[in-house]
Amino acid sequence: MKRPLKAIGSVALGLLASYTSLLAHHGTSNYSTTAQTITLTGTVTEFVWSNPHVYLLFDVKDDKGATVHWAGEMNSPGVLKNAGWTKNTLKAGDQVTVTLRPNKFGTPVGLLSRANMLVNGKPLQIGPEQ
Amino acid sequence: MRTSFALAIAATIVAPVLFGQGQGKGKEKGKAAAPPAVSVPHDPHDLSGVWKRAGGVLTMSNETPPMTPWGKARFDAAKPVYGPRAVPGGLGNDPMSTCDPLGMPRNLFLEVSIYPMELVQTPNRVFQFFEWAHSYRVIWTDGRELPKDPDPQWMGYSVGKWEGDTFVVKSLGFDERTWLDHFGNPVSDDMTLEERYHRVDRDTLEVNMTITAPKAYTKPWVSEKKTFKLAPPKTDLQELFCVPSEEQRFNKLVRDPGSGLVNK
Repeated sequence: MKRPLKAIGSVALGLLASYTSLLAHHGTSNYSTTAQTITLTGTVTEFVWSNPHVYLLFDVKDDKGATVHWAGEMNSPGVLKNAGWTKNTLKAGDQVTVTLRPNKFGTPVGLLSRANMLVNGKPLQIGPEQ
Repeated sequence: MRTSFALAIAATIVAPVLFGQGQGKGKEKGKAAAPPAVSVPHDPHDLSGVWKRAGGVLTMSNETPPMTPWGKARFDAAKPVYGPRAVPGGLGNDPMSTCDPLGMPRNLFLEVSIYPMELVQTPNRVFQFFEWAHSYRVIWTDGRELPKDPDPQWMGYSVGKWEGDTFVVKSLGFDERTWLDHFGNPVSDDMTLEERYHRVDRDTLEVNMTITAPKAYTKPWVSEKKTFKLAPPKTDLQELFCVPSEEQRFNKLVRDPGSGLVNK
């Protein structure tokens, strides 16, 4: 399901917070190189604690009420562990507000920032902000 | 251009990774500058410790030597996901995208800026453990010679000895399926690598390298000085395998749709 980003609800542009730790072994040239990010609110369907990348799968309602399946790429389990995360930090059913750096192809995949996350309405504050 | 981009990456991405938490502190007015580091006694012949790279270019140096026709063909066939020739992840052919080993000297470029490496010395060898891909290499220090015409290995074959306070490692027998760096520079099976490790103080390890690979490059490639810093105490190497089965699911759900290859 391919949807242009502009059709997705709950989108707000913001300044790039910090993606410095999100070096991906498959590169990041597919993601926006601008300082623009999007902020999405949705429901976690799976928090995948895998190597070499952790990623978050979550559903977001677009402005027509349709469900869009988003994926947010994160760093390795070891890096997250050092930052204080565990595989149970997020779980299916959690309501999350996250900031991502979108990709250039308009598909619902982005680099996910650990900064400024809300989980079930509360700031997620684990370790130093990345 | 390629090399200047390497510098750009180092400056804009890697350095903030390493120093991000300290940013801004130096700009605070009215506060005394941090005192110079205290000189802590150290044994220059003890390289043991967990180390992370501190900035620098993500290949040997900015001075890429001319390539042979064979080397140029390999370079042209490479589709890197970093640098000025970068393609979206799902369209690249970087060996590491299928969890192939990085090999040497690539293990000392990008990943060690994020994921540390540990040196462990024993009486007859030095182990170099890399967090990335949970891999290691052996540097023999028992006086043996390098093998003659060995079968290729991802990490090659390595022997080391001390020259004064410099630990000199010589290696050969590399697998030319590896890339030299993230930009797709080639490795050839005739490549020899010399690494010179010098622990200049307790917290700083400097490494200079030279590769000689006449099949790929018309002259040796001398590296810039690579600087590593001792990681904070209690820094443990984490289990960071590149797991093919997990990679496949990641590619399907994240990398490929994020590269515009397939719709989710």
